[in-house]
Amino acid sequence: MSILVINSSPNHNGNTVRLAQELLAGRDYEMLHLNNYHIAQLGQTTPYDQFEQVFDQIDQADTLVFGTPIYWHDMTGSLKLLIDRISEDVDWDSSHLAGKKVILLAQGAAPSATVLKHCDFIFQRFTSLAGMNYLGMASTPSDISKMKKKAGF
Amino acid sequence: MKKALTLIATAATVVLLAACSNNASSTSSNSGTASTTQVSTSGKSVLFINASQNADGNTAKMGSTLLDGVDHDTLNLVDYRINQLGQHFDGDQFNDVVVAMEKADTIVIGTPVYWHTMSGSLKTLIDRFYDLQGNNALRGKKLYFFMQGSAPTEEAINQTEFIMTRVASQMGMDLAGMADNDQEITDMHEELTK
Repeated sequence: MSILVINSSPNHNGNTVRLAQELLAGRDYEMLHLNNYHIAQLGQTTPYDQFEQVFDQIDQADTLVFGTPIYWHDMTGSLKLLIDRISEDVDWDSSHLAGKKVILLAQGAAPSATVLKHCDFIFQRFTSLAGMNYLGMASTPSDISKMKKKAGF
Repeated sequence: MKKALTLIATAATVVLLAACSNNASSTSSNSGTASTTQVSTSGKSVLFINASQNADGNTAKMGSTLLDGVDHDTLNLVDYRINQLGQHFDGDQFNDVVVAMEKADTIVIGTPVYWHTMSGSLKTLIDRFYDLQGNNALRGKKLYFFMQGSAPTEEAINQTEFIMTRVASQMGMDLAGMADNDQEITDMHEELTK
């Protein structure tokens, strides 16, 4: 069972990564920092696009842990972009998205319940349409311990 | 008629400049009065930022309805390569977008609704506004915002409009209106052309 953390924070050692480390303490996992990749926006055809490289790693993992800081009361632009691209540029039937376990980690300086709920809602919709198994969102240490049990980590 | 208005604007500018020159320290760097003193003889300039992947799709169409008869420039975000916040790859064009915004008096941002929120392209741009904190690039600009989608949910509308309200407030922009349906676009068009 391979686990991939997709960190959408520009910070490679910040609170988002720490939350993932806490969740996955004692487990083997890979860490993908989205900011290391050029990902073109929808509709852009450019030679620099590295979406395929990112998606290949996503497609190979069994469990996906998406991590985002809250910027402007929402997930990062890089994570939103990734979701936009997966939904438009991937043939979901021939990919291996269906059945993957998905966890969302969202953290920030006291994000409001409404903001977190909206991020959670977007992930519910996205994972449900892709046939993925969404385990839910965690944003605090107490969420993390609940999520550990739920995910069997 | 337009010429007459231009003359009035010119006269107003001259008066304002005269008023400023009486004051030993010009207020041009003062954000509070910058938008008043920047009134140019060519009238208010309007920039439409289209955050859709399509330069001529539904968002562009909604923008055309809104800006019918209004002299404006269009910037299609899809034509710009913008690094994510914290990325330092060569070829970043964020500053080109900021310069275009700085030149405008009124900025209209239109986005399609993807996954119950603004496009990734617009969120990418807005995240980069954190890089502008401490400078007054967008201060005093009038901002209109609209979202285009097939029946976006109340929650999606509220959350996205909340984000834009916060962005405008933090950047010192004057959020003059938001629309998410044809009726509101019509109302906004009236407001823009009155």
